[in-house]
Amino acid sequence: MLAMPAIGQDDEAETETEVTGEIPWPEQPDLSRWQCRNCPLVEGWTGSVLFGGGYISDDFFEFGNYRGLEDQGGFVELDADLIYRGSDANYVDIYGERLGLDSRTLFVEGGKQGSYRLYLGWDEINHLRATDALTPFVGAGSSTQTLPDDWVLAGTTDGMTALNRNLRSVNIGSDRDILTLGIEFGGKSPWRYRANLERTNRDGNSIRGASFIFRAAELAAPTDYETTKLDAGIAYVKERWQLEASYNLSHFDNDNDALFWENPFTGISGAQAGQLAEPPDNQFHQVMLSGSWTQPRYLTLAGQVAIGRMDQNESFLQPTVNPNLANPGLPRTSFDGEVDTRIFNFRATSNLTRDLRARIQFRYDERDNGSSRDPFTQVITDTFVTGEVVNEPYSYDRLSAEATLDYRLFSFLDLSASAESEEMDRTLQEVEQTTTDSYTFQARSNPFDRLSLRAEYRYEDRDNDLDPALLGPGVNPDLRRFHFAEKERDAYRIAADYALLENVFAGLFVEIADEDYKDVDIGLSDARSESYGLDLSANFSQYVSAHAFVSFERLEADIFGADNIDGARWQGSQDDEFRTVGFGFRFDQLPGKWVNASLDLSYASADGDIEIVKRGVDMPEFPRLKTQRFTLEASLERQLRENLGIRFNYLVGKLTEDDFFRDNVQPDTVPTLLSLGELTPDGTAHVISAMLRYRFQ
Amino acid sequence: MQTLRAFSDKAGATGLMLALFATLFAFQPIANAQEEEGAKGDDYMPEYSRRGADECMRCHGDDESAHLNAIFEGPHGVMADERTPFGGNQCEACHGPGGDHAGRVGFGEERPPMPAFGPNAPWSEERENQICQDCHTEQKHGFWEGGTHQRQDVGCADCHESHVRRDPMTVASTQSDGCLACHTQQRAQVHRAFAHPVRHGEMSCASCHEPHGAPNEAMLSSPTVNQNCYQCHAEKRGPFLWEHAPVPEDCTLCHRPHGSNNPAMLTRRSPLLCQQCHSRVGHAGIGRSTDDLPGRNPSAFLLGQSCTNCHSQVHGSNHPSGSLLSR
Repeated sequence: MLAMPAIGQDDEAETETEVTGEIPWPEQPDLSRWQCRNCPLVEGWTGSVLFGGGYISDDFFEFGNYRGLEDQGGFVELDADLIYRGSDANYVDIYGERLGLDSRTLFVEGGKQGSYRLYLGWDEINHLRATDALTPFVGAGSSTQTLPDDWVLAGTTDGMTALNRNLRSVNIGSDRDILTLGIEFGGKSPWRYRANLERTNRDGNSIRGASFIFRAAELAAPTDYETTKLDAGIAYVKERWQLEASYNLSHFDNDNDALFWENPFTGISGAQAGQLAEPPDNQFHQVMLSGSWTQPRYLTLAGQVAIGRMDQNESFLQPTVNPNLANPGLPRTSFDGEVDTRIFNFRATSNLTRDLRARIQFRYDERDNGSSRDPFTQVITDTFVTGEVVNEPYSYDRLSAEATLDYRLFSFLDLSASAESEEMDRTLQEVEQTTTDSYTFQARSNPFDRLSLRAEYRYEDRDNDLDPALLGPGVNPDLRRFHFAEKERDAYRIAADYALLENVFAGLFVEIADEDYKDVDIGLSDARSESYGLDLSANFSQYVSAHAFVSFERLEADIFGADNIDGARWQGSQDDEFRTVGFGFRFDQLPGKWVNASLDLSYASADGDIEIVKRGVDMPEFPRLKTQRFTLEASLERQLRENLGIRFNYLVGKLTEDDFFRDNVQPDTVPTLLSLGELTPDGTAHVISAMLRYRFQ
Repeated sequence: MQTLRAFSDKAGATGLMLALFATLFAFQPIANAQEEEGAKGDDYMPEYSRRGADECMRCHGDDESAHLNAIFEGPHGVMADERTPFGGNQCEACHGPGGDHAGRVGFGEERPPMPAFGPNAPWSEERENQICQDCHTEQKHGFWEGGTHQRQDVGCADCHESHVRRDPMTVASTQSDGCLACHTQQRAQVHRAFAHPVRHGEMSCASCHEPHGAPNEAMLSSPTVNQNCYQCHAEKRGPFLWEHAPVPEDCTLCHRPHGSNNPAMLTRRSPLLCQQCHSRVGHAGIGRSTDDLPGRNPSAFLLGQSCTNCHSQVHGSNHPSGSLLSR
C-alpha cells in the first residue's frame, strides 16, 4: 500500500510513508505557482436535454415491459443530464431518463461538494405479465372477488355453462414507484453522517391460486404494498481506520389483509367462498457496527456486527369463512411473530510479503425465531375441519471459517488456495446440522503480454446428521431434501483473454460444475451445469469500438420420486439450454455533422426439455419449453447548430415463447382448474423516435 | 480429486487451513528473496513538474486530447473542493509526479511516461488503486482489501472513468455494461426470458452487489442473501405463522437471481422443483407425465401454476388454517 500526501489529509501520511517502506512521494510543490490558467474550468450548467416523440408499432406487453413501451401509438420522450457547478463547489445535478414514459427515472442532487449533499430520486418500474388473461370474477384484482349473478356452479369447469359469457379481460402486472430522499454530511471532519429514506409503492395484481380441496381457480390477486426504508449512519473515518454505526429500518405495509373469493365450483360442505391471508404488515430493524483498520501494506482488519429484529403481529383471520362449519377457536388473536437476527463478519488480510498474501474470514449468521408456537385447528380449504397442527418457527445459525493464500510464484504466475468450512444448525427439521467443507485452487497467469489465463477448481463436500424419523408421518422415508442432503460438488472454470492485435481482444471461458447428491433414492439426485462463452472487442480508434459475444449454457438435473411410498418409482429430468449472441458498435465521431452512431443487437434463446421415466419406461417427452428474444437498438445523432442536435432511435423486439404449462390452457381446459387462460407472448414491435438535443455549455 | 476427497473425509477444511498456513511459512524464504528485488515500477518516483496542470495543458490541451477535458465538468475538476485533484496537485495528484514526463527530452529520446494511469505507466495497479483510496475513504470501501475484486487485481480504473463528466458506473442504466464486460456469464443470464430488469436499465448490478467488497458471499450489499432480496421483496419477509422452511434460509434455493428459463426465475419447473423436497402419501409424490396435458387428462397438478394452483402461499402464510400453504 502506498501513502500519498493526499489533499486535505493531515501529517499522518508522512509518518505512514516511513512505516510502509515505500518510496516516498517528493516534497510538495509550491502550489502558488500552479495556477491552472490553461485549464478549461467549468462554471454554470453543462449537459444536455433531449426532447422528442416516437411511435410504437404494436401493443406488445412483453416487449414493453420495464421500458414503458407496451402500448401501440405515440409517446413523448424526455431525457435530462444537467450539472450546475458554482465557483464555490456548490452544485446541482439533474439526471432523468424516459421521463415521458411509465418507466421514468429522475434523480436530483445538490449541495456543496466536499461538505454535504442532498438528493431526491423518483423511479418507476412497470412490469406486465399478461394482457390477455380472462376471468369471470367480478372485482378481479381487488380483495373481494365475486361471481356473476348468473353463474352456474359445477364440479368441473366443463359444467360451468355461464363461464364463456362472463369472461372479461384483466391485465396482470404491477408498477413500482420509488421515492428516495437522502442527505450526507462530510467534509474535512472525520465525522461523516448519512441518511437515506426510501418509500416504494407497488400497485397492481399478480396471479394467485385459490383452492377448495382439489379444485382451484387462478385469481388476479391485488398487490397494494408500501415499503418504507430508512438507512442512517454515522461514521468516523481516519486514514488508517474507520468505524460506522448504522441503523436500518424496513417497514412493509399491505393495504389488503385478505383475499376473499366465491367458489366457482360446487362446494363440498357448503364451501361457497374462501379467504386467503395476504402478506402481513411487518418490519425489520437492524443496528450495525462496521469498521476496518489498516496497518499499511501488512495487515487489514475489517468486520461488521449486526443485530436485527423482524416482527409482525397482524391480527389473524377466522379459520374459515364457511358458515356451515363451526369456526374453531384460536389460541391467540394475532401471531406475535418475532425473529432476532445476529450477524458477525470478520476478515483479516495480510500482505505477509510482497508476493504472499493471506486472508482469514469468519462469518456468522443467526436467525433466532422467537415467534409464538401454538396448536391451530385446521380447516382445510374452508371445506372440512381436521386436527390441530402446531406451527414451526424455524431457526438456524450458520458459521463459516475460510483461509486463503495468494502467492505470486513468478511475475507471470499467481496461485491461490483456500479452504472453507461451514457448519449450519437448524431447528425443527430432519437434519439438524450440515457441515460443508470446500477447497478452491486458482492459478492466474500472464505468460506473455497479450495473454491472460485463469483456471480454478473447487471441490465441496457436505455431510449431515439426518434423522429419517423426523421426516414426519406420511413422508417417504427415502426422501433427502436437496438443500441439506449430503453431496459432493466439483466445479472447474478456465478463462483466457488474448489480445489478437494491439486493439482487438478475445476472451473465452468454460465453466463446468457437477453436483452429486449421495445415496439419494427420492429427491434431487444430481445436477450439472456447463457454460461456455466467447467474446471479441475492438477499439479501432478512440471514437470507434465494436464488440461481439456468444455464449452457451446447459443446466441439467435428475430428480427421483415415487408415486407412492411403497414403490412405483420414477425419474424426472430437466435439461435447459441457453444460447446468447450479441453484437454492437459505437461511433463517437463521424464525418460531417453526424456526431455519433451506435447499434446493439442481441439474440437469446432457451430450450427446456422435461422427461419422465416411470417404472423403467420412458414416457413421451413433454413439449419443449422455448423462449426466443431478438432485440436491435440503433441510434444516430446529427448536429444541427452549435448547441442543437437531433437524435434518431430505432428499437425492434421480436419475442416468442412456447410453454405447455400455459399454452392451450384456456379457462376451462383443465376440469379442476379455472385458469386465467394466460397466453405466452409472441410478437414483434418496432419503435421509432426522434429527439432534439439541446446542449448547455 | 480422490486424494482431496480422502483428505476432506479425514481432516476436513480446518485441517487444510492449517496445511495452507504451514505452506505459507515454507514459501517465506522464497518470498522474502523476491521482495528484496522489489517491484521496480513502484520505485519510480520523479519530481513534480514546475507548473502543474498548466504544463500538462501545453500538450494535452489540443483537439486530440479534448476528451480529457471533460474532467473539468466532473467532480474531480472542482478547484473549490480541496479534496479533489484540481483542489491540490492537479493532474499529478492521480498520475503521480510528472517532472520527468514534462521535462526536457533529448533529441531521439523517448518521453518518460507518467508514473500512473497512462500509457506505459510503470506503477502497479495496486499502487494506482491506493491513489484513489487515499481520497475515496467511504465506508463501503472498508472491505476492499481481501475482497474478490482486489484479489483478482481489478483496478479502480478498470471500472471507473475519471476524465468524464459523469462516470457511467454511477448510472443504473449504464453501469451493467461495465460489469458485464467482465462477467460474461452473467451477461448471458440477464438476457434470459425471466430476469431482473438489468438489461432494461431499471436495475444495476450494484442494486444487489457491493463491488468494492463485502464480507459475505457474492459481495452482496446486505449482510445475507435474504436480507438482500427483502430490500425489494419485503412482503416475503414475514415472519409468517406457517413458514416454508427453505424460504427464510436462502431464496436462491429455488430462484436464480440472474435469470432463468422458468417463470419467477425458478431453478426449474414445478412439480419437479417441489418434488426435490416433497414426496409423501397422496398426490405430492406422483410423477406427472404427458398424460396430464390438454387433449388427454389435463391436470391441475401440472398445468397453470402447477403445485401453486393450490399451495399458492409458498413464501409463507399467516392464515390460521394455512399449514398446507393453501390459505
